[in-house]
Amino acid sequence: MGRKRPDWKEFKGQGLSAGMATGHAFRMETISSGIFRIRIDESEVESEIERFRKAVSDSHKSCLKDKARLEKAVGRELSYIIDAHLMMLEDPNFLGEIEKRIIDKLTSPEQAVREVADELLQAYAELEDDYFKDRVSDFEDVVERLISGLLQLNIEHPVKDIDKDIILVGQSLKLSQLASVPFDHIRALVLEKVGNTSHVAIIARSYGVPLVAGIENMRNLIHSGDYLYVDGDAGIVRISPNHEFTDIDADVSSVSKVGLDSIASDRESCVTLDGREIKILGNTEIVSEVGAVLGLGAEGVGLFRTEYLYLKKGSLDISEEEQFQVYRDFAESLEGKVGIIRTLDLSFGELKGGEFLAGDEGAVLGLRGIRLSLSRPEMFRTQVRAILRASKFGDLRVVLPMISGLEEFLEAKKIITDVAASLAPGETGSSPVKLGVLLEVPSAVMVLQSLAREADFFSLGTNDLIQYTLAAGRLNDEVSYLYNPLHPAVLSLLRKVADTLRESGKEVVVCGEMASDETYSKILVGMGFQCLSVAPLAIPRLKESLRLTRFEDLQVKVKEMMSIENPPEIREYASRAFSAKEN
Amino acid sequence: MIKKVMRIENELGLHARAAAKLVKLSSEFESDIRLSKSNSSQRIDGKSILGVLLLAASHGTELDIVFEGTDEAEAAAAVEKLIAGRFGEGK
Repeated sequence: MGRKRPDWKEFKGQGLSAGMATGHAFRMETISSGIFRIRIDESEVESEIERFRKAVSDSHKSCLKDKARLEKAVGRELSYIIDAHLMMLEDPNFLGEIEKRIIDKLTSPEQAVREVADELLQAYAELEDDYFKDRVSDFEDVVERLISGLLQLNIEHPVKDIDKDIILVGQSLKLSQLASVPFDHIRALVLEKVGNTSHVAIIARSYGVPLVAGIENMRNLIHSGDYLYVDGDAGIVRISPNHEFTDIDADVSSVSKVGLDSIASDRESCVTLDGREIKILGNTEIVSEVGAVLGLGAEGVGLFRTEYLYLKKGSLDISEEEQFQVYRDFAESLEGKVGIIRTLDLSFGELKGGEFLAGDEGAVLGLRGIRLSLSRPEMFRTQVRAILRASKFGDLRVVLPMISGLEEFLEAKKIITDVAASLAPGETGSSPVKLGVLLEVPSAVMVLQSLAREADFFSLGTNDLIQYTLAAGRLNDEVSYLYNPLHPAVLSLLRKVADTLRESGKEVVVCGEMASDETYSKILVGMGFQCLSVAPLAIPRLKESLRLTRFEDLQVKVKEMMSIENPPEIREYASRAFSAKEN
Repeated sequence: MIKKVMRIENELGLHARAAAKLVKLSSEFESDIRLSKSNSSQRIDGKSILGVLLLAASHGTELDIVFEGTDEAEAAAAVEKLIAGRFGEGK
């Protein structure tokens, strides 16, 4: 792609979302309470100084309130601790140095606070006396309060001043922070610490935004305003500090908008060389993109996530009417094809700013998915009512996440049946909405036969099924090496799903990351799965690759692969037998 | 300009509460008030809590304090009184 200019610096990371883009880097920083940018424009100095001063005075006020509260709780004796905090917020040197940076270096107030604070923290860390060393925690408190205060004053859109297309560069993005990112203005993401199956990566793929991750020491390499070329397929970022990208600009302009609209439409069905039809659906969560997803050749939407609705609001309280509008628009945009809506699949912690309630496990092993819905039946009923009403306008189905056994499914099914019965005849579609189980908890796979008697259809969430089976968090850097789709235990579970559901005649849609991977998708097809739901941009490539295969060959190869016991040998076999060239 | 050498006599040294008192008092004067440890060249603004804490002046530390400005005499007297009075802490 293009000629390489000598002054380019090229960095290799991991491509986590396909596509290419060029644009100016926009560096941002994240803290627990939000995202902020690093640089400001000269024209903004005055208003940013004003915002900073307002944040200082707001922090001061909230500190005074805390002081009163503390005095009430523990008496006057200890309130001097807050006095020290208050004085830090009045400290002329500290505040002066921050303002100086905003004015002289066009540093954003948040970043200026961070930088000045870090220098001071460094100085404190070097002290020998433990007592004074420990003042660091008081100071950290004040800094966090100040930055939160600054973000409060910018709460609507922490990066709202993005009004031109940019490439967002930063460490990582939390789920809650994603909601405030203006995706229409983001050409690509370059992030330091995100994994292949992180939410950011998943969402980037569903938006068709290229994402490259894992470039070491990136914060020192890329600066705001640098001109970047991002290749999400190859995992490459090129930097042109001199902004001299003009000829590559011309080169890339045709692909730089690898938007959903620009890829050739492939609405032909996907049939293997020996005549087996594989149904390909798309995953999305954005109603306005459904048309484009179908345009890319999807035969429906196999996974329509609903978390976004809730995350945008930061609350579980979304009115039926508000949800109904979204689901109806979704149903109407399906052009008569199927659309599977997944009920809320969040943990409470993710909703509350990504700060998990009980450690890491709170998110994956705690109150989430159907558990959260069943613990808040009113919320669940509201979502179900909205979906059932919308089913009048298109072929909607409902899939329930995190089902771990029959009882849970029956409980949810009863609520849904009750809601359906409470609706007037004209309020919902003519036939009952089909209800499915999202298979992602291994126990559900173990009792699949009994579930198959009750559920209308199944979805298979490979990402979670793998991590729950192997007890290895896919987002945990230390153990993610254990996350292996080709582990014999995973393969045998997948096989069990395919076999059991073939016997019981129930349809199953595979909608995890495995389905969009060129190698894994062939393994899934070879096991007998006939319906894959993938990231929209992967559809044309997937269809192309499967059309070149013979189902019978894949069956034989899968069988052979599954007779191997040693994981490295399995991997080796898979990469050889299912590679792009070998079919 | 007035230069004084003062010894921190209270048991806890220039810890958060004492530092807060010193900064509060210093801020009442127009004069510049600069502190340094006797064996160090690092000079700290007496009106900056973050600076004063960074001095890490424990019990027995000797401080050079420089007062400069229109009310330097009053400032020096007040600060001397605070330190000599062990920041009102008794010990």
